[in-house]
Amino acid sequence: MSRWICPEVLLVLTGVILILADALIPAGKKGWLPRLAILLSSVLFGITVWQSGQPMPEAWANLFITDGLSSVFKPFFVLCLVGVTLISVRYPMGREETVRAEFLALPFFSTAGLCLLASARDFLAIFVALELVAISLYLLAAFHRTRVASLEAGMKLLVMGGLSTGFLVMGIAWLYAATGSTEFTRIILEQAGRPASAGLLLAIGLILTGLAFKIAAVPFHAWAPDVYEGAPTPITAFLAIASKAAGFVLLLRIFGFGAFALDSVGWIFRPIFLTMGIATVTLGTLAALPQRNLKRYLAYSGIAHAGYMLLALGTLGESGMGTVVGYLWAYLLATFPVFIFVQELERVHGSADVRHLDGLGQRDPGPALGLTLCFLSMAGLPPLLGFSAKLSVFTTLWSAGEIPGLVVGVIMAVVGLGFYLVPIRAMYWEREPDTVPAQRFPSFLVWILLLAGAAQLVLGFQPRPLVRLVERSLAPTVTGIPQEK
Amino acid sequence: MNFAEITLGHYLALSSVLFLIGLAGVILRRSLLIMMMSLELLLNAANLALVAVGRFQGLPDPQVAVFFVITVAAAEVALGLAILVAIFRIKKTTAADQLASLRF
Repeated sequence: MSRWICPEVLLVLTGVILILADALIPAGKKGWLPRLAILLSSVLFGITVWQSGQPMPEAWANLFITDGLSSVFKPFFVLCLVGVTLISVRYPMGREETVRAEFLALPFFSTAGLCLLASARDFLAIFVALELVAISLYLLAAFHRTRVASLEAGMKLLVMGGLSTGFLVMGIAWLYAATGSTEFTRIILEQAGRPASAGLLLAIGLILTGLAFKIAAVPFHAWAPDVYEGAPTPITAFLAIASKAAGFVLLLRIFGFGAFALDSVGWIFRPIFLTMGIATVTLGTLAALPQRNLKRYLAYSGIAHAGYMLLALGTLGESGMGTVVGYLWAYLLATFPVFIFVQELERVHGSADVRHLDGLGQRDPGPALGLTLCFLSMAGLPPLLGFSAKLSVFTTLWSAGEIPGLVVGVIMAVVGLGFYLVPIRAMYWEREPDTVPAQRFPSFLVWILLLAGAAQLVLGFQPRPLVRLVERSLAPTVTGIPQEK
Repeated sequence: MNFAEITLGHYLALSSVLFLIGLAGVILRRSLLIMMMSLELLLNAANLALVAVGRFQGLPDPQVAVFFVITVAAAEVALGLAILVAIFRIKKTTAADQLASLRF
C-alpha cells in the first residue's frame, strides 16, 4: 500500500487539486490558493523525506527503481518545488488579484517528472519523465504573456528543448539498434566484457548531447542567459537549479552508477567530459565578468558551476560521482536564496540590475549579510560550504591525475572570485543612490537570507550532514535488478 | 550487389539524413514556424529509425516508443504554436531575429 503514495503520485494529485480548487474557490477568496499551494508543497516535502528513508522493495517492471541516488534527489527536487511555490505567490504577474492556479500547479507536474527521472532506469522512462519536466517548463517560462521577454524566453527554451529532445530520441533509436534494449540492466549485461560498437558510441554521444543542453554545458549553453533573464524569476530558479540538477542526475545514472561506467565506453567519454568541463568553467567564469543583470549573472555562474561538476564527473570514479551529488546540494543551498532575493529586488525596483544593490549594506544590513555569505559561498571562499564543494572537485581531479582540468579549475575559481565580488562591492562600497524606493524588503526575506547565510557557515565548518547524504547516494542499494537476464 | 533489397542500413541512413536536414533547419532558418517544422523533422527522423529497428530486429518495444515520441511531439508543437500566436499578437512577426529583446 505505502508504495503507491510515492512522491510522483502525490505531486500529480496535488497539481490537479490546485487546479480544481481554483474552480471551486469563489472569486473574492482566491488569496487562499497560494497558501494552499505552499502548505501542500511543504507537506509533500515532509512526506518525501520520510519516504526516502523507507525501503521500496518493488521495481515496476524495472522502469522505476528506488536506490541511493533517487532517495537523495527526490527531496532535493521537492525542496526546489517548495522554494518555487514560496516565491511564485509573490511574482508580480500584473493587475490580477493573485497568481493564476496554473502558475502554481504546473511546477508540481514538473517536479513529478523530476522525481520520476531520479528513479528511472530505462531510457524510455527517462525520455517520458524528461518531457514532463520540459513541457511544463516551456509553458511556465512563457507564462507572463503580456511581457515580450517572457514569451521570447519560452520560445527559446522550447526550440532548444526540442533540439535536445531530438538528440535524445535519436540516441535512444541508435541504442535500440546497437543493443536491442533501452533497459540499463539489460544493456550492462549485454555489453559486459565486450568492446563497444560504433553504433553504441554514437548512441551515447547523441544522448550526451541532449543532456548537455539541459545542464547548459559549452557549446550548448547559449540559450541559458537569455532564457533565465526573460523567464519569470521563480521559473528561472527552477530552471537553474532543479532542471540543471536533473541533467546531472541522469549523467550520474548513465555514466556513473548505471550502464556506461564500463571501460569499453569510458576511454572515449572521459576526455570529452573533461574538455567540456574545462570549456564550460572558462566560458561561464569569463562571460560572467561583464554582466550587470543579476539573472544573467546567475546564469553564467550556473554555467561555471556546471563546468566544475562536469570536471568531477569526468573522472568517472566513485569519488567524482559523490562530489557531484554534494556540489549540487551546495549549489541549491547557496543559489536559491539569491533567487528569492532577486525576485524581491524586481518587485521593489522593477528590474534585477546589479546597481539596485548600491548601498544595500547600510540600508538593509540583514539581507546584505546573508547575500554576501551566499555569494562568497558560490565563489568557494573558506570556510563556507562552497569551499568544501570546490575543494572536493579539486581533490578528485588531483587523485585522478587530471592536471589540466585541475589547473584550469583553480585559475577560474580565482578569477571567479572577482565576479562574485561585484555585487558585494556594490552593497558595501558603492554610495547609496539619492532616490531610494519607499518599499522595503519583507521581513520573511531577511530571515531566509540570514538563515541561508548561517547555513553556508555552519555546513562549511561541519559538512557532516552533506557527507552523509553523499554516502547514502553512493550506497549500492539498488533494488529490483533481476539477477538473470 | 543487390540494390533492390532495402536493409536496416538504408533506413538508418535515410533517418540520419532527415535528422541532419532538421538540424540544419533549426540552426539556419530564421522563421520560428519553420524552425518548429524542423524540430518535428528531427523527431520524425528518430521515429523512422525506431520503427525500422523494431521491424528488422523483430522487437515490439521500439514501435511502442514511437507512440510516446508522437505524443510528446504533439504536445510540444501545440505549446509552441500557442507561444507563437502570443508573440505574433505583440510583435506582429514570427522572425526569430526580431526576438532580440534579451540580447546582451
